[in-house]
Amino acid sequence: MIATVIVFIFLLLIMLLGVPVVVSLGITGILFVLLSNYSLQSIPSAYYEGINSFVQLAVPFFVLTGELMSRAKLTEKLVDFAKLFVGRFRGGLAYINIFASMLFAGLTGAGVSDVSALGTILIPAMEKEGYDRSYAALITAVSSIIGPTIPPSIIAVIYGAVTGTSIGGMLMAIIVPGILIGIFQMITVKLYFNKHNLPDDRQFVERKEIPVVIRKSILALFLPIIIIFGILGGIFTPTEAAAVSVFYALFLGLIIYKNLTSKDLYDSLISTVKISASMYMLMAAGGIITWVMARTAIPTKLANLIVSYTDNCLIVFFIGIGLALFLGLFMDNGVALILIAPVLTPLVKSYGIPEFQFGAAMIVALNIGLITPPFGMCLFAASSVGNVKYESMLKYLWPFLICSLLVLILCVFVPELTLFLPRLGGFM
Amino acid sequence: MFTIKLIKNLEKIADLLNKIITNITVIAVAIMSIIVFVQVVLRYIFGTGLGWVEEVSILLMMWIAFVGGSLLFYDKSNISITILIDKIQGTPKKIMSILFCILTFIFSYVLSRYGMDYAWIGLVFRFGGINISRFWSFVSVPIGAVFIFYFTMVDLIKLFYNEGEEN
Repeated sequence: MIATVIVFIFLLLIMLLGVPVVVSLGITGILFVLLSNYSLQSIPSAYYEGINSFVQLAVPFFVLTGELMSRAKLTEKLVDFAKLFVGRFRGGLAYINIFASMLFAGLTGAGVSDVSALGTILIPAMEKEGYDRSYAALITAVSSIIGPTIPPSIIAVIYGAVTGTSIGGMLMAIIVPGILIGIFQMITVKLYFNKHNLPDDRQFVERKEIPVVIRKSILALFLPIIIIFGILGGIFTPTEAAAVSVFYALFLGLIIYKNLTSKDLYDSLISTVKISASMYMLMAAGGIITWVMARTAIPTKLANLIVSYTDNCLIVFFIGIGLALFLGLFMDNGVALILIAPVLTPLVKSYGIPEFQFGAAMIVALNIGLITPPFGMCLFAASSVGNVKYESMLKYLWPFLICSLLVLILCVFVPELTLFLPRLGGFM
Repeated sequence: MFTIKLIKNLEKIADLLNKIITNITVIAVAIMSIIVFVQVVLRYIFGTGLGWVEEVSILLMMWIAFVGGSLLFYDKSNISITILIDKIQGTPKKIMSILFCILTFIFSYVLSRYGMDYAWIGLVFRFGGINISRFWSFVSVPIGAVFIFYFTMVDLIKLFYNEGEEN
């Protein structure tokens, strides 16, 4: 037991000192092996087994889809499409920004890319219509956390992989919370319309333009629909859906929109290799930690410890979510997930909380970390894309942060929000 | 003079390795996407699949992960928590960088030395569909680790060399 405590304190220490996470996890495993009686060969073996499965192939495919779609210059088309639906209201561009983020979420799998794609177009446009530039940047940042929730979603694949949860089910479970975050944020825009001093801009699409806008964007919007219905209907496995989405993105970029060059293709592949290798290394090193935890039976010990204090499953749920929120404040989402998901998921499951519900809530919690000061990654990205002072955005932040937290609380208290789609797809 | 030349050459080799590994992994991702997609198409149009697709794509995935992953140590794009390290400068920062390198050496040594032992075990097991030994999949771990070792070594040498130059 003492060895275990030493090992984990050591892990936290070197990780906080800035040692690359993969190395920190690996060294911790090595230290554990040296303190106990296992063979060092367990380290490469656990490292290898961390990613040895077909479902994890979905990671590079989703990354590649996102890379291709961001290079296919679809942003303006999506903005026009969003304009069609929410542009006519007072504060049209603020709604458009959020709605376009929801659409964009169906094309890419990560939040930060969404900030730069939408921010470069919408922040100047919003400033021109009389919005405070900081407000424009902030809206771009907060709405970007919808990105990792609507499929393709890389974080859902990682969660499924490290906890052994069905990836198809996870992809389905986080859709509704993602959409809710978007809707709640739009409501927040409306509630704070006067307080935030927003201009009365209304964005209309001319009647004769409507068919053109729909025709230009509708095919791109089929991408998430193919993935969702493909998985729900049992037509594809998640990995196959991901491979199909790569080719659908290629089809759009090369044949329909004709704006992907061979250089775009090569660059997309290079980014895909870098991003997926980084995710894979993390998962592999996570395999080492999972191995250590299995040897020390930490999840069971933790469960016993908590059981001795409470048998209320909500308290356990909140402890898990609280931990995710806390780690999300200063850690990369993938890292936080790999550290806590393998410990917490079996724990909450033993309390009868479905893993899809917990996983979805955890992903929402980690995403909220992306827009929580002082280290929120998406806030930094928006302040650099929008060229505004980080601090100046914060005065608008709180209502949006609170409404995202509200979605998180709903995920805890209303299980059907997250369980409805996985059940429909036959995952539970 | 000789040392400068040596360091330059070590750097050149690192750059070359980066190019080679990047291109190989890029091709691997492309092949992987194509075969899984073709598999789906074959299954739906002709009602038949290819037995080897899953095994080949897992094999490629391992090489992308472990050998491609070594590139993160070439361009230092590793995920790390930089809250504290960003706040320090000068000698403490240098000491920290040396510590990082030493820890990376230990990690990559264990992965390559014991990873090779593990890979030999793979000789006994075979991928059923493509009938090759699992050695070829396991061996990606030690090979990747050797590259991690090399890239980190070049970094460490540069760290000392740059200091000498400043003096």
